[in-house]
Amino acid sequence: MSSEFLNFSVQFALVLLSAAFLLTVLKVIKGPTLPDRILALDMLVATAIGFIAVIGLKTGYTLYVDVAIALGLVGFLATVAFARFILARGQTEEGREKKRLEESQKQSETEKPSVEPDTNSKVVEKPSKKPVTAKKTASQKVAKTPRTRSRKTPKKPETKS
Amino acid sequence: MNLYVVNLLLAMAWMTLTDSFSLGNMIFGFVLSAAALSLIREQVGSVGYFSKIGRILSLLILFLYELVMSAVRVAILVVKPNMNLKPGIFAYQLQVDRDHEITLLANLITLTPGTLSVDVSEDRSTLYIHALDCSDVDQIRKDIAEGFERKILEAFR
Amino acid sequence: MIDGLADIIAGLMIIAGSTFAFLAAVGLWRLPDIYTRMHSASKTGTVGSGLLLLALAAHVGDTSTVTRALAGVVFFLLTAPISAHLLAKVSYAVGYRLTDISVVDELKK
Repeated sequence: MSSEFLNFSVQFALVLLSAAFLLTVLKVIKGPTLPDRILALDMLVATAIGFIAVIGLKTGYTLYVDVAIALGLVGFLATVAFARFILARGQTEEGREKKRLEESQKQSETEKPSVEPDTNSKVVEKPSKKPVTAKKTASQKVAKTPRTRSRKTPKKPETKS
Repeated sequence: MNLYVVNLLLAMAWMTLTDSFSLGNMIFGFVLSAAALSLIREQVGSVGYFSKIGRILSLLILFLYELVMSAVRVAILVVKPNMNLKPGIFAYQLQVDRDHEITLLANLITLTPGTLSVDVSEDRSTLYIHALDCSDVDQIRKDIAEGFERKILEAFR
Repeated sequence: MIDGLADIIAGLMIIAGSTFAFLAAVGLWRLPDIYTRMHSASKTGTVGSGLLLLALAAHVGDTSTVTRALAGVVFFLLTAPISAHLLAKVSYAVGYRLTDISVVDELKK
């Protein structure tokens, strides 16, 4: 009787795990942002480990446990590497916008609100109290423009898929 | 630490005497020698050792219990038709200050109901925690301070 | 008798574990943003696969398998929070925002 129950639960588990696997794969494909996809991949590894355990139980090959441990190791390293990749890829569109807003707010706080910060000539011409900060922000802006352009290239595949 | 070595040696002696080097026998020998040591704990001055074992064990049990509870809670939340979420990130003033204690606390927080540690401040005094239900932040802070943090302080100090 | 009991325990663990894994996958779809999804994946998913490994250990029952399965479970319990923490930290640093229904954000400087 007990082995019948075990057989039933193995079948049940295989069905549920397949459904979970499918849902997670769909999330990897769709997932609106990159961290979403990475999280889904992490979850995929966890589901695969569960799969391996159930298969190992069904077939009786205990060697599968080692496979599961190795898979867990690789999955963990992959997640860590992907996290580094997110960091290396730089700010998102939203984050960049937020930073720009904050910067402009800071500028309007330090300088007089009547100053227009968008043209370089004005800032230089103006005999302001803090020429150093003004120059700094201007040079930052110049430095930033080519950077944003170069960052756009790795983003393309994400919007496509 | 010295008594731990004695404990291990006694367990090895047990394994040699019973001529069986399986893992189960080793654990049994370890428990047995710990029990033997606890009988003479007054004489060899090992009271601290046993209360420390007890506290680490209670931390472990609390952790396992909270882990299962958190999984059940998230699972129930996911099934509910109307998820009443109030997520948010709140700051938590750390009492523990050693690196391994902070790491342990952050890991424990991540695996407990509704909370996930996101970041530690530069000066290592504040832990930023993401929670699924931020309607009562002070209550969560109190739970962590009186649950895990107190247990960690007890187990490692 | 003992074998039958171990089988029933293993069966219950399998059912519970696979249900957890499935609900974690559902949670990935139903929760609103990356941070809340992390709760689902890192906790429920870990407990699910851990339970399945323990069920294998309970069913087979010889020492080497039990040790390896336990080592695997401990390993997952150690690494899951680290990867979740790392991912959450990085995505916050890079600027992925919290969902609109969030109530507090004390990390914002």
